[in-house]
Amino acid sequence: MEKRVALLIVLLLLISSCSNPLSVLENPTKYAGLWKEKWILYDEKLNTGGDFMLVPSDPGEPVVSLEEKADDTAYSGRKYLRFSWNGEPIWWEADPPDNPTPCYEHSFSGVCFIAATSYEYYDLTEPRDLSESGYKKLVLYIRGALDKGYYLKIEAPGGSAIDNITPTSSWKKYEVEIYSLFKIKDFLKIVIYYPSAETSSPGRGGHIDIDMVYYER
Amino acid sequence: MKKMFIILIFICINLYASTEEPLLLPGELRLIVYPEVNFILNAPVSGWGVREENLSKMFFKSSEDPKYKFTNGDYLFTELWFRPLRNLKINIGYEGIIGYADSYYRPINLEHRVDAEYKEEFGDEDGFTTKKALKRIKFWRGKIEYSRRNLHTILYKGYGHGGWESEGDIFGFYPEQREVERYRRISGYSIPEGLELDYNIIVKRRNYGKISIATGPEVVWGNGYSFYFKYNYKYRLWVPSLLFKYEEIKWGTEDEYIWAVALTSKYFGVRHFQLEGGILFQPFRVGKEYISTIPDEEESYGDSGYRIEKDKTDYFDAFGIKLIATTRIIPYVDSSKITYTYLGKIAGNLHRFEFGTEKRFTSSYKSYLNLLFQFPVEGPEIPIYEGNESSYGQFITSPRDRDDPLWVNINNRTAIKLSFMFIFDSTPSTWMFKYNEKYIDFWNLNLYENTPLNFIIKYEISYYPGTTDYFPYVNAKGDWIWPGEYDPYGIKPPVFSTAGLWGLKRPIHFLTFLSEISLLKNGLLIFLIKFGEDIATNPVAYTTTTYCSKPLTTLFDLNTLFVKYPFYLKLRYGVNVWGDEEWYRQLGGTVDRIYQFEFKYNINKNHSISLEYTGCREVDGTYFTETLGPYNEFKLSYKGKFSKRFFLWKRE
Repeated sequence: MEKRVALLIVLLLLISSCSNPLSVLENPTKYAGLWKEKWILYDEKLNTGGDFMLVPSDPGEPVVSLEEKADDTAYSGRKYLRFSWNGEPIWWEADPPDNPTPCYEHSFSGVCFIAATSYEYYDLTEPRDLSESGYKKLVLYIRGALDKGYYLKIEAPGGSAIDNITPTSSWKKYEVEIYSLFKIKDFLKIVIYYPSAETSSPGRGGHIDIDMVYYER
Repeated sequence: MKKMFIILIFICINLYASTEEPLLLPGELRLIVYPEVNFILNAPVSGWGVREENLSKMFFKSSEDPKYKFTNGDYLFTELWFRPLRNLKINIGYEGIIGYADSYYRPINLEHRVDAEYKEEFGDEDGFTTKKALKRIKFWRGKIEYSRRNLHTILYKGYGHGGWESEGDIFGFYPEQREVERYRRISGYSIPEGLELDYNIIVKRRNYGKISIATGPEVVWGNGYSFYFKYNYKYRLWVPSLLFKYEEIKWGTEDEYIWAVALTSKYFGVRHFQLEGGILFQPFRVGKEYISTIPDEEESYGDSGYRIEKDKTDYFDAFGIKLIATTRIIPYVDSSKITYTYLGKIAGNLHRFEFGTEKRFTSSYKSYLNLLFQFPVEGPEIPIYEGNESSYGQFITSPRDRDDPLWVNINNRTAIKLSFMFIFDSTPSTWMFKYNEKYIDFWNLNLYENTPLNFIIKYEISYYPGTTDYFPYVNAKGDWIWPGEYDPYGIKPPVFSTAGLWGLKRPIHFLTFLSEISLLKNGLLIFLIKFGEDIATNPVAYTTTTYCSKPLTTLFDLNTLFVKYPFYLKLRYGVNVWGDEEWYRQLGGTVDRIYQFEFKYNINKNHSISLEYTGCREVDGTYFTETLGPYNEFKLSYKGKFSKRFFLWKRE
C-alpha cells in the first residue's frame, strides 16, 4: 500500500515537471499573407505592437520626456507625441563599442520606436523581418521648437537618415528612404542633437511633436 | 523607538486583566489591543542575490555568497468600541507600525509600504516627533452601526459586507466583499468604504417590502464612487425585486460610470419547481463602433480565414435575461438546477447554460455533478497581421481594448466545464465546512470536526477552445492594468502578448483530494492535494517566451495540517504552483518548488506564538519569476489580544 502511494506521488511529480505549456495552447494570431500600401506606425495610437524607448535612458529626473498629447492642433485626429529634452546631461550607459564608459552626456537625446514590447525586453526580443513588405519610405510629420545649436535627425531602418533639421512651429512632412527592413529592432529613431556639446555647456534643448508616422512603398 | 515599544508593552500588561470578549452592553466602552511581534531571518539561496524594487523582492543570479538578514517588525492594532445606546454601536481602530520585518514571502503589504514611505521621508534620522509617529499610524477599520426594528444602517470603512445574491440579485449588481485584509494589504488603505441601509416598509403592521441602499467611495474593491439600490417585495408565492446600480469603473476611461437596472422575480407557485428569473438593462457605450472578425474562408481578409466587419452597439445589446429552475422531479437524483443566461453584447456578452445536480446515497455519501457550456454573443476580435509568421507587419485587427464597448474575457469566453465532487462525511450531523462546500481549502474547513474519517474528491475538466480579447487585471497596488499598459508592479521583465488568452488544443484536468482523519485524542489530521493543469488568467502571460510568464502550469500541491489544541502544525510541498498572490495566477508567475512549515502554539485563546519556514527553489531555468525566489525564510511571531471594559453609565 505504502509503495503504491509513493509510486503515485513520484508519477504525479514526474507529470507535473515534464509538461510543456505551449504544447497544449494554440496561438490565435492569424496572418493575412498580404501587405498594405502603407503601414501607419503611429496615428492616434501606436500600431507597431512594440513600444517606445528613450535613448539615452531617462535617469528618472525630468530631463527627457515622451508624452502623448491630445488637442485640436494634432496633424491628424487629436493625439500626437511630444518629445522634450531640457538640454541637461543624461546618464548614458550603452553596451560597448557604442560607449564603453558610462557617463553623463549632453550631446544628444532621442526616442526610438522599438519592436520590443518594452525597453527592458529590447535585448531579448528577436528582430522583426519586414523585408517582404516592400516599404521604401518612412514618412512622418514633425513640428517643434529647439534652442539655438540643437538640430534634429530622423533615422530609418537600414541606417539611412536625414539630419540638420530645424523644426518649425507648424507641421512639416519629412521623408526618409528605407534601405533595409531585414531583421530590425527599431522602426525609426528621432534624435535631438547638440553638435557643439564638447566645447559648449548645455543649452535649453527643446521639444518636438510627432504625428502620422508611416511606412510607404 | 525602543522606549515607545516598552510603553506599549506596559499598556498591554495593564490591560491584561480582562481578556474575555463579552457582548457590548449599552454604555460600555471597550479598548482592545492586538500586539504582533515578528522576527524574520532570511537569505537567497546560494548563487542568488536580492534587491528591492517597488516593495517587491527581485532575485537575480549572483556570484557573491548570500548573507542571512535579521529583521524585527512590531505592529499594534488598537480599537475602541462604544455602545452609547442600545441600538447604536461605534468602532474605530488604528494600526501602529513600529518597525517592519522584511519578509520575502508576500512583501507587498501595508506595513512594508508604510515603512518604505517613512524611510523615504525621514531616512535614518533619530529623534521622536509627532509627525514621525503619525506617519507610522494607519487607519485599520471603523463603523457606526444603528439598528431599529425595521431599520438597519451602517457606515463603515475596512469592514467586509455581504452581497445581495440571495435577495434577488441574480445578475450580481452588489457582490460580497469579504477579503478585507487582502484589499488592505495590497492597496495600502482600508476597503471597502461606504454606507449600507436596509429599511422594511411597515405601515399599519403590513409589510410593503424592503429597501436596501449601498453607497460610498469604494464599496467594491477597485471601483470608484458607487450607488446601489434594491427593493424586494413579497406577494404570496411571488417575490419580485427591483435593482439599480451606478458605479464608477476604474477599468474604463477616465471618470467613466456604468449603470444598470434589473427586474427579477422568484416564484414558488409551481409544484416541484422553484422558478427564478430576471431581465437586465445595461446601456454601456451605446452607439460605439467595434470590429468583428468572423470565420469565413470565402470572404477572408487575405489568408487569415476571417472576414472583418464593423458594427455599432445599440440599445437592444443592452438587454439580458436569466432563468433558473430548481426541481426535484428528475429521476435518480435528489435535486437539480438548470440555469440559462443571456447577456447582450454590452450587458455582459454571454450565452450560458448550466446544469447542476445533487445525489445523496446515504446520510454520509453525497455527490455533485455540474456542467457548464457558454459562449459569447459576439466573439473575440482575432489578431490578424499583415505578412506571414516569419515576416509580419502591421496588425489589421487586434484584441479589443480599454476603449471598446464589448469584450470576450475569462468569464464569457467559449468554455465547456464538467465537474464531479464526491463527499464522504462519517459524521454528517457536524458539518465539515465553515462556509460553502464549493471551496475546498483549509480556511473553509471546520477544524473542530470530530470524525474518524472524512474525504472529498473533486475532479474538473475544462475546455476553452477559443481566444479572448484583452481585459484588465488588478496589480500589486490594487490598480486596474490592461495588457500593454505599463505596470510598475508587474512581472519583470514585463511581458506582453499581442493576443488574448490562447485557446486549448485539448481539455485540461484538475483533481482535488481532501481527507480528514482523527488522530490522537481530539486531534485532526488533514491532507489536501491539488494536482492538475491550470491556466494563467490574463492575456499578458500568453507568449512563446519561456523565461518569465507561464501561460499554463501542471501543478502538484500537497498540504498537510494537524490540529490538536493548543498545537497547530502545517506543512506544504508545491511543484510548479502559482505564486501566493492573485496577480501571479493572472500574470503567469510560478514557483518551481515551494516548501512551507508552520508550527503554532496557542498559549491560551488570546495569545499564540508561531514558527514558520518558507523555502522557494528555481530548478529548471525556465519560466522564472524574479519576485518569487529562490530563498529561505524563517519567521517567529507572537500574536496577542488584550482588552479592557469601561462602563460610562450604569449598566441596565
